[in-house]
Amino acid sequence: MSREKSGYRWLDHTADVGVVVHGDSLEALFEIAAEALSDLITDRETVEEREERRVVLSAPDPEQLLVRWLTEILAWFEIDGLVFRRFSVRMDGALSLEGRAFGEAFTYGAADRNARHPFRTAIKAVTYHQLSVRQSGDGWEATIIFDV
Amino acid sequence: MAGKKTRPPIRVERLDDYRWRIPQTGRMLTEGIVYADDALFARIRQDQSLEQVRNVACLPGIVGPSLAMPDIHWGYGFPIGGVAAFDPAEGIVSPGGVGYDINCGVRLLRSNLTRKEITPNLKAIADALFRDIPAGVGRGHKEYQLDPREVRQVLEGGAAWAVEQGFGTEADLDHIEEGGRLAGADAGEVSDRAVERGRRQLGTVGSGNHFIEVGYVAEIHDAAAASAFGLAKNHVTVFIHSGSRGLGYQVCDDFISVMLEASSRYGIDLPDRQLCCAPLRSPEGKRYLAAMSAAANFAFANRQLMAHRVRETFRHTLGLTDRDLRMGLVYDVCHNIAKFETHQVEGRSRRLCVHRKGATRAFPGSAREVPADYRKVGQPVLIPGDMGRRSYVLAGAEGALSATFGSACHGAGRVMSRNEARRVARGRELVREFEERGIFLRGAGRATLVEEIPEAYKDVTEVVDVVEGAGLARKVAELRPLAVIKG
Repeated sequence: MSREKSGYRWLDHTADVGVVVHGDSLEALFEIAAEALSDLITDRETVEEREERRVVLSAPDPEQLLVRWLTEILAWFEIDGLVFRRFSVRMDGALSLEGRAFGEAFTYGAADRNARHPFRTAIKAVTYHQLSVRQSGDGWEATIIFDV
Repeated sequence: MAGKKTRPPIRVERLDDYRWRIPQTGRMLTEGIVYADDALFARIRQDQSLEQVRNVACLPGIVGPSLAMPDIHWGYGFPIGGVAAFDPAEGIVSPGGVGYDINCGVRLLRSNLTRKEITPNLKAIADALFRDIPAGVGRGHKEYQLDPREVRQVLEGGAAWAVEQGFGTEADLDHIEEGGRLAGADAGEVSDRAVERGRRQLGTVGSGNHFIEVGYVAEIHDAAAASAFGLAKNHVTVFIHSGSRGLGYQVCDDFISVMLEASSRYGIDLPDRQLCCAPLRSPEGKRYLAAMSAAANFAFANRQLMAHRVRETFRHTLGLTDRDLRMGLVYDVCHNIAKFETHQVEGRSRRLCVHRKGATRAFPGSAREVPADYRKVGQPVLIPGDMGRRSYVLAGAEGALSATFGSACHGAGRVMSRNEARRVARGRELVREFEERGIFLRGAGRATLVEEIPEAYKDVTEVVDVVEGAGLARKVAELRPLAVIKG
């Protein structure tokens, strides 16, 4: 089996947006999935690392853990108004993680003269639809569909 | 989808001009019925929505067929456009059968203003609505936030809470599905995080396919019903399409976690995890319904607040009074909901939990839920189209009660993915393009506008023709857009 490079690619889905993520390790997979989500919301390149958020999560399986992690990032965006440039995930096994996110307050819109971030897509939720986290070659692969 | 094996095609039989049947096979407990004509069905076959109709037919306690409306498309778990009813004792309730945007819905205001009268002020109205009603992503209101205690009052009071606060009138409540308040709501079942996500979002449009649209009545198809609904040719109307915002998404998310665990505990074998569910009589099922009803009430209050702001904006911008404008509420319908209703099944009256996901209740006048002033003509069924072409007001027909648990379609349905829409819209100046056609377009960001171009949707007429042809509802009026505010 050929090994795909770390990164992600979008899936075309009529109503929603899907992504396939590859990572060298499960930790990298979770970090790259979070980057994909950030790129869906805004342009990550425009985000500076001024603030940090941290969370400890666990779940009955890796798929649910991934949904919880990405949902945490959505909640930071929606409740605290933060967007992120970089993520760091440490895992002990596949059922718990300590995640950190580095970013800043989201500024956008014609009304805000200091707006620096583009707004791309409003995401309602990270769904369980066709969700998978699996080993692929010597790395990991995940498929995630967002409700937009 | 990448890496997926090709699935065996789903066997379908044509029943008549507007209906297709998926026969009961394998693990299905009932058959599937899809409402579509040839052209729509050819498109439906291209995605996996028929598999989803079949999957829903496998859920315990389903009563009658697993139904799909003509605007069906691939969702997560249940198809969008799916309707299914479950027995209270044997059946289940599923957050995936309602969707993330709990009680996403649409309401329509009528007015005494004519198109001619509003034209000189249309740009000002579009700008004022865009300024006064927050749309788009982000934190919602800066000046209007509720404290968590107030959010909990909204969750139990719904649109009635909004009216008590002075946003609208008692008369509005009569013209909202369920009177704008689901009685089984329990704010205690809504998580702190959901409340936190909702507290700055009451009275905001949101993003994606949500909108506020000023339009006018372009054509009347049924004069008696139009008159009962207060709709007159060339008169100005306002559509408001939004739901329970982040609060509802969080309630759905919270309960999917609960239901994933519950499904395996109750031995429910799931064809797709997003169909996770619990028996209606289980503690988990009851808790979900209580939380979902609370989120639905938040959505009713949300649309009520926006309707109030729309009226205010019209008054201030045009220098007119409520008496001049007469912006009464035609109706407010839910698109994403599960609730108990009484239906006749094989000659017997049964209380059932009806899931509508991207479908509209379409009761005829004989149903006691229909307000007194609409009993002669049936419930208004509001079907928004895309932002460039047309929308419809229908009236619920007897055929819906006997065939679809009183349900009809909810919109046009997408034909293009968001990426395709972006490709098609590349290089186009949408705001100017629309203005040349006489439509003022206002959006918080270009991203949503390009994804929502009219070509990304089916022409809603195709969908409505099937609903009418199948006897589920009949056309009352056609509306065309004048100004559209998007998130």
